[in-house]
Amino acid sequence: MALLRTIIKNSTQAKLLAAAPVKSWQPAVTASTFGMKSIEANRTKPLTNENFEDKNKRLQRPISPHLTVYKFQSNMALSITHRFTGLAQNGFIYGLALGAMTLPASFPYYLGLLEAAHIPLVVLAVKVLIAFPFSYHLVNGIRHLVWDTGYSLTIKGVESTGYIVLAAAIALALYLTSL
Amino acid sequence: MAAMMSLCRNFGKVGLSNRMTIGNPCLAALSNRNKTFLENRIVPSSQNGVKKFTVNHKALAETSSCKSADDHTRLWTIERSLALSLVPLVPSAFMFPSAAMDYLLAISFTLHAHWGLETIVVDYLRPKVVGPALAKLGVALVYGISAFTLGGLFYFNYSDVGIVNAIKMLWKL
Repeated sequence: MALLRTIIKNSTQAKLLAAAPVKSWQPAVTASTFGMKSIEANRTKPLTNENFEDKNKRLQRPISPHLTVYKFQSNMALSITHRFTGLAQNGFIYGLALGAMTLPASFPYYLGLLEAAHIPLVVLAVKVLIAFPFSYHLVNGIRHLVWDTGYSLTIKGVESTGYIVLAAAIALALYLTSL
Repeated sequence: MAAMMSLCRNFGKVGLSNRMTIGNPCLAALSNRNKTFLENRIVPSSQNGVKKFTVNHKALAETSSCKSADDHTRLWTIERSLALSLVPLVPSAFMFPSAAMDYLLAISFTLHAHWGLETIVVDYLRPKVVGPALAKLGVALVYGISAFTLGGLFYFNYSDVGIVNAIKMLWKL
């Protein structure tokens, strides 16, 4: 009787473990769910040493589509614009540093060259190209800092603050350009 | 006003709370390592009373990827503090210009830009995609660019008109 019970216990155990091989975690339903002691309870090493990525490469599994299928949303656009404006300002200060180190004349000289060209549209374009990245990154940065405290981390919150940020950034950029 | 104060109070609180270890077995194992004696057996873990997964914390904490994992909290908080300080710093640099303000602005801009650029490079130049050599080279380049930028801005402040004056002169055109 005891022998029969042991055989049944082991076979059910074996089936469960074969269906869900243990690595470093166990699925919700295990042998212990049925009141049976799992022989894998004290496993200290994973079953194989194969990396997740290497295994996928070996089996030549295709990657699910992501960027090509995800619906385009406002929060995506605002986030990537935050990154781009930050990168643009990075370019500005790097350009300023590069110019300071490599160009022979001083800053007022080159400013004089730009003024002497008498193209106010170019000057306006330069102002806008500096003002908008600065103002957008500033306002969206404040939004990020608000998120970092935990506030407004809801779908409605993200959406509404997103519109506020866009409006405020454009307004601030226009104001700064007009100064 | 009260909202602002509570916002500032909450700002320093974020960190490696229990909330952040959900779904990340390495961090959960590490935080357990710091707190309690690790048992070398499968232990069920629960967050907010909901059972997430069972894991052998000791074995997991001893894997190489967990051993080299770090708690990014302190640096993260410093990054956010710098970003927060930049918000009043820039307008006040224009309202109360001075040489010291120029240098302070140079340091703050360069540091903030360095962390941002490093994040971008780490995000997109992933070792699995471009190889470990290019990933390391990218980060090294970021350090080089930031060092050069800091030096260049200091040189500009010292031997030329200075950042704030330069922008003011450009705006007067």
